[in-house]
Amino acid sequence: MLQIKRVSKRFEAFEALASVDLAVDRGEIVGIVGTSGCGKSTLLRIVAGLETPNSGSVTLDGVAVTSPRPEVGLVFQEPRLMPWLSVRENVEFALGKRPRDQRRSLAEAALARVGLATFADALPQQLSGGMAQRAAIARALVARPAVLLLDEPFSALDAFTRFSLQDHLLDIWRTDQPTMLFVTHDIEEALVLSDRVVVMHAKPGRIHAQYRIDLPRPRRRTEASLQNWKERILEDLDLAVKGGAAEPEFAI
Amino acid sequence: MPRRLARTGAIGLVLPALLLALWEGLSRFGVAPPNLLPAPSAVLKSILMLWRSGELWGHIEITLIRVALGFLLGMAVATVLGALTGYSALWRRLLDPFLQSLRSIPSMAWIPLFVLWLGIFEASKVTLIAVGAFFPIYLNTMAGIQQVDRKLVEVARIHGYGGAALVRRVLLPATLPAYIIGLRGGLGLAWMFVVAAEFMGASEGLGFLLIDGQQTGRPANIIASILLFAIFGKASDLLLAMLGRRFVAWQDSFETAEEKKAHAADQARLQTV
Repeated sequence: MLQIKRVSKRFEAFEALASVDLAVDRGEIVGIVGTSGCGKSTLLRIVAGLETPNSGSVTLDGVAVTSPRPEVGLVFQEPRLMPWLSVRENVEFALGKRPRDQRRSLAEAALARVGLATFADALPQQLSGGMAQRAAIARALVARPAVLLLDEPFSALDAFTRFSLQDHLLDIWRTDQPTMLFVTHDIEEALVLSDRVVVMHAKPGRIHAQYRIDLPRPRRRTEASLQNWKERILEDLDLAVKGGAAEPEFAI
Repeated sequence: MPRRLARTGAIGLVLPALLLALWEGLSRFGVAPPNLLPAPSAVLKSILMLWRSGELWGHIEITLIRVALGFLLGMAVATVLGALTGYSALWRRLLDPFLQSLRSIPSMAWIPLFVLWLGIFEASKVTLIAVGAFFPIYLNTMAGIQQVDRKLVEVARIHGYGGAALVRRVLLPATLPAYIIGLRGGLGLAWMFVVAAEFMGASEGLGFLLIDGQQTGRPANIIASILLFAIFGKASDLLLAMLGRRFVAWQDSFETAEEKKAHAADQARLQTV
């Protein structure tokens, strides 16, 4: 279980996170939505061990996370592939010092899972945006992390590619069942993928509301009940009514 | 692509060929005085004569050795210092202001000091050339490391790379394109500084041949040396560029980035000399 306890983070005068509590069960998919500046990416970076909180703690199965760990994989908004390495070498990059044969076969298997087997020897510059992001997902998954973090992983892609990668991610999740914590500003994406949607508010960054989405997956993007959730979350984010600028008073 | 390159490459020869023909014609018809501007054929003849006498290869050899030694020395020092100042802000604050102030000293100003310290023979010449080669390599190495995409470094950190592994797997390959541009700039300056070095009292070398041609009133020798400088300078740069391209074939826009930086390096060179 991933446990985030009273995590606060400030960057000089800016209070990015104020005492955030969140527990994510093993194999659970949690989507975090929020307007920009609500600290959702910072939260993810703290869980990844890239940032240190000013106070509070992150533990994974009881072990404190203070620096990057092999059990935690991270997919960034951009593919961030090393341009001088082939696609396969980029995936192997995540396997560090393992024997070469093992690295190669694991990387090839991971690439096959994201449908890039035939591009193993290509350079990143030869890939389209969607393909490059799939390669990045393969890199994050190749070491079979217990937790997969995704920081707006599909936001730079066009709608069709985004839909197909969302489906793809669920396919992958079904085999390994990693705990997934992802940040998005696409409410529909959060609703289609998540077991639970967490809504964050800014100034200071904090959790405002949480919704359990107990619908079976795969979910249809047009499903009526999703629209109800969507409306509530939009209200939470103060985006449902135009001109509605009042801060909601309640918190969970 | 190769065909297009060949065509654009060949087109670069048209203007020199026309000028040569014009020059030859002017000399033949006596418009250009042969004691000031000897015909291309006369220049070629003097090159052949120098070659046959066995003298020419000696001059070329010693100049090549000086350039190579000076370049390698400058490269070694520049690589170490550039890596230090690029990698660590502390080293940058400590070293860079001092090195930058040295850069503003005109190259010729070093000559008396180097001669005084190191004598008039090879050591002072090689040192002068090393100073010339140093700055472009140092600056590009430092900038190259500083400009490494922090996002890629973060990916490496996520996967547990740090220290030497981080340098080898990310910083080094990411810095290579800038480093190669620095090397080419450094080599270009090494060729410039070898002329200055050989002006300061050499008895051999292409620079000596140049001075000797002036003092003995043989303009064909002067032009021959200039031509040889051009040929060897260009050939060594081409060699380095080809070597470099092997290492950075992955780079999307290497060609255009390289041209841009080469232009910047030219500007810097104008300021240094």
